[in-house]
Amino acid sequence: MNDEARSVAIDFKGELPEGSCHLCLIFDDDEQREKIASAYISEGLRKGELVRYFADASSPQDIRAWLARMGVELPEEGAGGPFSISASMDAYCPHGRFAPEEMIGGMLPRYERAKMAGYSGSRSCGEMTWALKGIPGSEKLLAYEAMLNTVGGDFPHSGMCMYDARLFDGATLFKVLQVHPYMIARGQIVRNPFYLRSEEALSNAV
Amino acid sequence: MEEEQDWRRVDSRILGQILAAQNLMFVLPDEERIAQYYSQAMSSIPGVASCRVCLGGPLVPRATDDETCRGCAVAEEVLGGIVVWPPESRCGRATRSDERVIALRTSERVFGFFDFRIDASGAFESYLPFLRNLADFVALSLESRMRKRLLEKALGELEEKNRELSELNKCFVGRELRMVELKDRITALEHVSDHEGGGK
Repeated sequence: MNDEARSVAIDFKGELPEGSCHLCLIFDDDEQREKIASAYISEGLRKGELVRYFADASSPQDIRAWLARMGVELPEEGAGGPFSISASMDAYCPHGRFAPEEMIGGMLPRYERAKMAGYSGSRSCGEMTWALKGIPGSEKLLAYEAMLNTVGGDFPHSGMCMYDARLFDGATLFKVLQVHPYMIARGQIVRNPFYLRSEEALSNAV
Repeated sequence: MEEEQDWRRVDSRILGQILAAQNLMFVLPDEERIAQYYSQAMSSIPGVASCRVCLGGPLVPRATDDETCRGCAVAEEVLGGIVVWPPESRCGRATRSDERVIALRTSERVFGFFDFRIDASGAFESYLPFLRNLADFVALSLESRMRKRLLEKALGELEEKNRELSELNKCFVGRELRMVELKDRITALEHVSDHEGGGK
């Protein structure tokens, strides 16, 4: 992934590298998550990116409500717009199972389509609680997170994985840190020294 | 004798990890998760074979028969839901030659222990001062959580007392008003009675 020195502020405390990045938000408070996710979404829309939200614990109505409360101006709903909310289950487990290779394989073509449609980048954030539901393949989550760091291309793309610290155990949260180059804790972006290079993380995850 | 630190053996990335290990403390909601997280995070320090984190109640990894904390006979206390020991408390497992124990100690209490089983490489000793700093941070954070919970509890009790007092006050004021009302009524009735008596 691109890790250029140039960076851009995204409203909450800290900066993300311009280009592509993969970060995790570990939170223990919904208001905290809403504040950070709304800043992340709002910045993506402002920059003309294709922004997607994958919901699991929250309903699309709730998400739109707190985004409005946080002052995010959302474009009109409808297919093909710059902002969409879809169920995490549909996005991550479209056939009732989680297949990381298929997910990763579909990314570059999707970015290509977004580029052709005139977007300046792609940005997504996902509620990760779906991984606690015992869906076949969900044990490959950490391998998938490590693989995400290998997705290249010249189209800027970023992903923010949101982990609820009230639901995931402490050991899993540590392993989550090992596969994200950046983490956000209490609104602060931390360049994550626990991050392992993809090959190392993948060998640990398998 | 002053402890000698060989800075050349210290890996800056590991120091970064020890420093960053503090960040998640703010979002881990309970002691069980804190113990799980630090047990995992500390196990990646060079020279560490495994790390057990004891926070009184939560003990991660859980003790097996051969790992029972026999030495920990110090009277513990639970404050704000957090197990604490007196400040001079020590972990009984610290006597083993392949173990290094760091107490999570503030000036007033001990909140638990990082119990490292070390390997033969000798790499661990270089990180010991930094791990002590981390342990101090974790202890202070636990103390802060404990105080916050005690304050919240005291606040809740105060609010309850205040509510009871308000109820009582309402009741007394209501009774006073009723007495005034009844007194007025008696006076009025006496007045009527006097008039009727005078008319006969």
